[in-house]
Amino acid sequence: MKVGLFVLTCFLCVSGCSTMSGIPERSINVEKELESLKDYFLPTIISIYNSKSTDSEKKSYRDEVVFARLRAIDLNYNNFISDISVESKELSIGADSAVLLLGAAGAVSTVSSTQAILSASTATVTGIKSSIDKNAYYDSTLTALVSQMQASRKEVLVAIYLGMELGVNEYSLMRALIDVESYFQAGTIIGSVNEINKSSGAKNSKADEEISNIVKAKYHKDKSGDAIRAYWKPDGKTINKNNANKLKSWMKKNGLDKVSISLFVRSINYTEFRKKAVKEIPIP
Amino acid sequence: MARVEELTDIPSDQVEDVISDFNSEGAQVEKISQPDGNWTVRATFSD
Repeated sequence: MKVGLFVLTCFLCVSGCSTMSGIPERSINVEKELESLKDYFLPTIISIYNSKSTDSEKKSYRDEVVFARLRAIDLNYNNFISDISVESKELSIGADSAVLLLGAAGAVSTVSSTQAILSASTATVTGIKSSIDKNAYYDSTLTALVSQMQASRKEVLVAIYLGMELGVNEYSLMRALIDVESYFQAGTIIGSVNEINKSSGAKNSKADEEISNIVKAKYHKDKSGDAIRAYWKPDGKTINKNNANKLKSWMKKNGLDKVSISLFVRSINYTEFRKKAVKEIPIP
Repeated sequence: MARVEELTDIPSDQVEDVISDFNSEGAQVEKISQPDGNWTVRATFSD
């Protein structure tokens, strides 16, 4: 009796949590609406479009097909989002919790006392919390993917709306269908991951480029450096432009065009180059 | 894109000369103290 009550209580707790999908019930019958749009997915739409005698009729039919397809994609997309958000909670938490509940029931049945029930309950609650924590990572990933999908879908939708402002010569039905397909792809997990990869790849390249633009070197004062600095700034403060140009020209010839004279003069990396510069420019 | 040059382990009696040199080449200069008493100078050259 106690065991039955315990399992029932835990089951009610878990089932109560898992039905929270965060998406309200829809007031339309999705399946019926999709059924009503099926004519716009028949292969005959191209021939119907081509059979229209004027551009105006073609445009009107093009718009009708595109809007119908967008509506169908939206309906399926909303179902998809609803399903994956419910599944992420029901499947993961539900499956983990079921295992824990069975374990807890077993523990209770071997030692039939209130203390044992409480002990098993604590283990179950801890276990469920761990399961929720683990699934929180999945949920966060899902949220990021869905956000990317929404953003990509909007981008493609703007392109479609702009296209539909044009006549059929500039934006034919075939061209519009290609964009509609892109709209569908933007609402898929693969499309979303691709976009995120593209974006992170671009950021990574930019970071690499920025890192490669940082030159780090240890300070090293030597006679060649002193001589070059005196040649570059004879009074220690003012640059001698003529000498600076000769120095820059030599540095460029020796592959040091991306290095400042200040760094060249005092970096340990250029010790040998400085000796060479003093000899070749020449610097007294 | 900005180019950054960093010169480390500069003795205290030399650091002002280094800063002055980078400044005269148009860089924005940062002076950072090191735990060993020396200095790091970071010069940022904007394109």
